[in-house]
Amino acid sequence: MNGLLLNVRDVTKNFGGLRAIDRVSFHINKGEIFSIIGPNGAGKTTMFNLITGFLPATEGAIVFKDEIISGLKPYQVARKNIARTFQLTMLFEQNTVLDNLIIGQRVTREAGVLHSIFGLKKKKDREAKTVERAHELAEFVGLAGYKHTVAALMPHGAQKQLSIGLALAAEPELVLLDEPVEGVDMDEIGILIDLIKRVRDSGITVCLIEHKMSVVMNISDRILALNYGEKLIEDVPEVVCRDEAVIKSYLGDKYVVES
Amino acid sequence: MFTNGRKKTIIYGLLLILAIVAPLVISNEYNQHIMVMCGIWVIAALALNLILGYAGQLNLAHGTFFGIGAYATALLIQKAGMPFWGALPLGCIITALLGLITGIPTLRTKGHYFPIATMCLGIAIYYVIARWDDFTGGARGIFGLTRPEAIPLPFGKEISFESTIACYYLVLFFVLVTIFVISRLVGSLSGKRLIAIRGNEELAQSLGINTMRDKVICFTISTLFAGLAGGIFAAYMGTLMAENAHFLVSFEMLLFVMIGGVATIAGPVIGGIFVPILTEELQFLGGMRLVVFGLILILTIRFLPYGIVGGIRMAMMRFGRGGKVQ
Repeated sequence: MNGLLLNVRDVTKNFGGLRAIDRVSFHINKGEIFSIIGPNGAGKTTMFNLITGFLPATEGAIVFKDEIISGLKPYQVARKNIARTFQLTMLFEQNTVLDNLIIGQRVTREAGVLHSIFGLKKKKDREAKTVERAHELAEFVGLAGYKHTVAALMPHGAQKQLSIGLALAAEPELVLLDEPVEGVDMDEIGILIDLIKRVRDSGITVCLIEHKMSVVMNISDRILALNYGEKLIEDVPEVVCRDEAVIKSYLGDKYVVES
Repeated sequence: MFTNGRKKTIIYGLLLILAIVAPLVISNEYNQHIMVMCGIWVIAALALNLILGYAGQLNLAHGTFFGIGAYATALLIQKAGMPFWGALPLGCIITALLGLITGIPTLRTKGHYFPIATMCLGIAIYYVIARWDDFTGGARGIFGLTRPEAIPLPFGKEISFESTIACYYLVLFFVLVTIFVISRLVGSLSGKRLIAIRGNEELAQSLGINTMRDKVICFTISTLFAGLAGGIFAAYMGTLMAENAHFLVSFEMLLFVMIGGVATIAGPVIGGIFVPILTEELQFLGGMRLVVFGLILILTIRFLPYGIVGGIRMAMMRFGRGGKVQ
């Protein structure tokens, strides 16, 4: 852990009369795997949408590396080097794995239109580089065998891997993964957990939303637990899994007494 | 991903030679006229395909921008006394500027609202053109435009555009320019961004793509070329009617793109040639022609959702010769 990367301060989100997030504060340190847990409707995905600019916060501030990012548009947040995946896996379904990974790259979003039409040698070199990097990314996320496959035709687990690859394509400093192992079988969970750890080891900070407690407790450095939009606790896994409020919200009152 | 096969280059080369030689073989003036018209429709269809096929935005005002280009060029020639060679680029710029101004609010809409918004725009502009008697000639239209001025050559020679065959080569030149610009654009990294917008706009934004900006740029380029097709049309025909800017023109162009094949370069070229020729061939049917067209369209959408080009690709894949799935 070497320093603060993301700092969420007293953030509130109202949807009309419904308070989805209620004065929540937490922080993510550089280089860690940080998990957000909580029952359905706790506000986990809403929190992701607030951080990435897909929803405006009603109150509070979100600071990324000493810069306030709340109020920015989604593409502006992404340009600050924050990438995300979506709960319902989103990909460019009609395109191949390699094309997906080309689209996601920083060079692609920065390419000028006039240069694209009239550029010569430099443009070719740049394009060749994106293809090269797309190959590397495909291999990194474990899709070497699917490079030329259209995304929609891949199995669910491989699509999850690609969605992470897409988030990594622009070389982010922080990736937010919304339920990265949702709906995949045990073997694939292993592949994805391994991938997430390798992402962290490559120097990228990871924040993830997850329901499977075995996964969360296994890979997280720290955990934030939410319930009905309120923060229950933010601590290391050993403490969080013994916390009464967490057990109550997840398993019900009776279990508190027994454990 | 970015490379084109050598085979493709040879095929395109042969097609280009065919396009150059064709009017020399087809000496019938009327057929040559149809070939000029096909060229104009191809430019318009390529432009529509850029915003529809690649960026995924169904612009139902495309025919209107064609009309704006035509009227702008014609009025610059007739009222401002400009030569065609000045009026045409300026007409294109005026069209593109109107595209930019109208694109910014309309492109904010999502889903079905963009086609609805652009159709309303098209209808509104049509009525402005049809009713503004003093400026556009209203329902009477504009008459007596001269053909493009001859281009002087050394040794006292010149390229004159009095003959239909000369106009054909003029149009062919602009078709090639359009193909060059649009194919370069869609084959580049900027083109990948358009494909991303068509695929999933939200996801594109999460990857740092300013989708609004790219859509507006794409729309502006598309309207620029629609204006180019319109400007050439005006100077070639010599007359303009409000009907040429009617919002139903958009649907004709949509037909070219759909039947030819969306999101390909060859599609609008094939559609822009095939459909107008078919229209001519079916003249003898009179009003029944539209019924036949309806049937063709239904069959195309049912059996060839990606048009003629998509059908050819599918056939090539089935016979194991490789090919790309879009």
